[in-house]
Amino acid sequence: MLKTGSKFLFALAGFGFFAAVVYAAGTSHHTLGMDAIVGPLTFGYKGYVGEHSGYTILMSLSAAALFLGIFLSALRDADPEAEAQVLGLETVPDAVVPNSVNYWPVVAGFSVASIVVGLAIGSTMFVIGLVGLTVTTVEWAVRAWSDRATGDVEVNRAIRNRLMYPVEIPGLAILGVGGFVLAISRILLALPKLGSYLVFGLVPVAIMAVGALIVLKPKLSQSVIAGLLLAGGLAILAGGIVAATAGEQKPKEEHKTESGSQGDSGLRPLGAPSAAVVEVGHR
Amino acid sequence: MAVIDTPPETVHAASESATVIPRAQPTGLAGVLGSGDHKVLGRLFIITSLLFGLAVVALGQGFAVEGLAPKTLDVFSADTVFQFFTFFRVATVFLLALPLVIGVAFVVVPLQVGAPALAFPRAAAASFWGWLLGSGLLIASYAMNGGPGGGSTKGVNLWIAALALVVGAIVLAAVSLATTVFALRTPGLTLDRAPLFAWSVLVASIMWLVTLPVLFGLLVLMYVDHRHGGTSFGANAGLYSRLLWVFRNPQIYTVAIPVLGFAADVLATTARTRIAPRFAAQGAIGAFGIVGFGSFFVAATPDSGAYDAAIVMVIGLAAVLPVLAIGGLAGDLFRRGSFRLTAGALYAVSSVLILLLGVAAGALGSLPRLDTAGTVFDLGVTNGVVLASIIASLGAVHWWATKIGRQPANESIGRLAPLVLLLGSAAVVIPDLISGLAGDGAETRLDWTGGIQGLNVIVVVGAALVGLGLLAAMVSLLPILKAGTDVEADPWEGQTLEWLAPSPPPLANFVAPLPVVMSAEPLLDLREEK
Repeated sequence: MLKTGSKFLFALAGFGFFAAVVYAAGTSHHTLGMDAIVGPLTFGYKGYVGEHSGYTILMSLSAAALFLGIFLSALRDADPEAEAQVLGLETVPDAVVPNSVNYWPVVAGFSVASIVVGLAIGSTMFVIGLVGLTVTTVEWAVRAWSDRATGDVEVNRAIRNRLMYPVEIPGLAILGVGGFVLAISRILLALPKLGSYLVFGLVPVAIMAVGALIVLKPKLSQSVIAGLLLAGGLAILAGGIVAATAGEQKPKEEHKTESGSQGDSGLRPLGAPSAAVVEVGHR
Repeated sequence: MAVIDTPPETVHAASESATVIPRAQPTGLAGVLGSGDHKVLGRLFIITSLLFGLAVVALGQGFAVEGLAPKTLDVFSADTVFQFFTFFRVATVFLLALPLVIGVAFVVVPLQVGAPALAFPRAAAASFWGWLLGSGLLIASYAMNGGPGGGSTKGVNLWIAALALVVGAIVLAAVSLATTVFALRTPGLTLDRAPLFAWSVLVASIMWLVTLPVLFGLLVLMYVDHRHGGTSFGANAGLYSRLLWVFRNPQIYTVAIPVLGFAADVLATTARTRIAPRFAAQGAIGAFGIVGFGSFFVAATPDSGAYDAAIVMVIGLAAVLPVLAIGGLAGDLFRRGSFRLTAGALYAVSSVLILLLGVAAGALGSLPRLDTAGTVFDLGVTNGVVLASIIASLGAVHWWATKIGRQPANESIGRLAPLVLLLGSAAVVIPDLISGLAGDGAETRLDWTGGIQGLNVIVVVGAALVGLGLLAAMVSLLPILKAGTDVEADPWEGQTLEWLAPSPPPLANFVAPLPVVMSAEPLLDLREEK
């Protein structure tokens, strides 16, 4: 027996088919006759089909809705009683309530946003986003598995940590240090000379300050950590956009003096090796 | 043992050796960022879309003011006006109307179907963060001189990619919502017994699922084309005309499908009677969804002639019937029931009236002889439908305030807001329809304002009223942010399951297992038995 959900999908399928035929016939710019009707009905094998994109989309809608309608009809609108029957249970199990904190959706959001910025601006952001998305996929999958490992939330967390800490801690260290060094090098390249002196001086001070903070207050609240991560994510995206707008600082060309012997740096360029160069190693 | 099962020794080892210290549920920023609770995610969608909404309304007011005297009042410079115009149209749908509906649905739908959570709660969370960041990047792309008509190649690329992210996030939210209604209903709640708002959200989600991927695909093609010289879709300005189908009827109707479900649920409850015949209401909502399928215009530009096809006229005329049917069923409720004047009912009536105005205008505009393509008539239809959706969503937040927030909303200001919004919306929409019929169009003017100047005075007043109405609605909702004591679970004598949940609902929504549902109005049954 057809139920409410499948009826809706069959109606959608019927609409798609009818609309496809009318649309294809109406946009074919030929005299309305058998060819204009047979064309849409035979997917263009015989006769004419007008505007192809719209026709294809409408026919695809019809096929997709028909498939879903049949599927839903077989499952009796996914009624709980039908689901339980399919699962071989008396009642369907309750849906799992997400009762623990999980930051991976936010990380996934930032990763995809980073990919978007990278697609528009440059490959670095794209790679950052891709790495983020890969890590998210792995972590999310492990988390989904461990959340269902036992009925105890704390035991599940312990199982997850036992599996992932040996990978996460070294991985984070490598990513953290490498990413930090890379980021600072990019900043130094983008800044003018005075700015780079300042950054070069301030960064070690900042590292020192963060180290001192960790020693003084080893257990930060989750909100502070979340806030720092959020600010970091936003800084990466904003940095990407600003870098694209401002561009990388290009090294200035050296002004040649009249004699051509000295550049701006005051260093004498190396001359061509003279004939009196002593060669070693050949006897 | 299946490969995904945990080996017993691992469980044992973890239980034995690890120091298992139960953690308290995090609050504050950690609780927000890491939450998969549908109520938290819904609130986030609602608050952020309303904040974007204030900016969108202000922008709309700017265009209305410029329309008063386009030659002298230069609100937007000639270089940027087209970008502001496209931002206004994109943001109205993707940063305000759709996320606002999704936010309400995220909170209300699981409660209505008796589920303890949304289906795929983490994917739902990812959809919010993806949408928020995509919206931010969309705005940033305009700031970089991007968007349709923009001068920066990188900015235009970012606009296309960011819009694709926003669309992808909305599709993810639609998957979560549709699966919740299909698969997480409580025993006995067959789909024909599902509350009409949940049913309308299901229909809307399916329509978003079958149409928005087409937009996503189009954006991918645009991106590839633009990266390689932009020859297939025209120059930067040409991108907008390829996306117009999203903002025109019939596709724009998909944004307003939940309006009908909201109105039917709220009016039946305020009239203290059952909507009958129920299958007619469900059928009307389903039919309105079906005629909202408009992505087959993906290749159509305003001058392509595709909009003159017979099917457009059929759809345009057919779309009026479901709205009229819901209007008729509502009239029957007023006749049979004992009606109460509540803010929710006023919101419901206002939204249905504005939607009727929008779809009736859409039907008129589908007649090829009137030749309204490219005029502000289209803008009027879109504004009408989108404003109906926004009014209904604001009404839904007001109606389900104790489930979405912590306390009931302010009822007296809440009754004023829909009336101001109704007047404002009518004043915004009707002059544009008249100007459009006279052949005046945004696309025909350099300043992208459109409209007959004399009538534009009414548009300015209307835009101001819409802004005031939005502010009034937001002020009426402020109490819901404050913690309350002994908040009533069912302040409206509700008929459906969400009113069984405490206010505000706990993490798993219901404190006791729900009994098997035997009708579409289980709470009304309980009251009648007493």
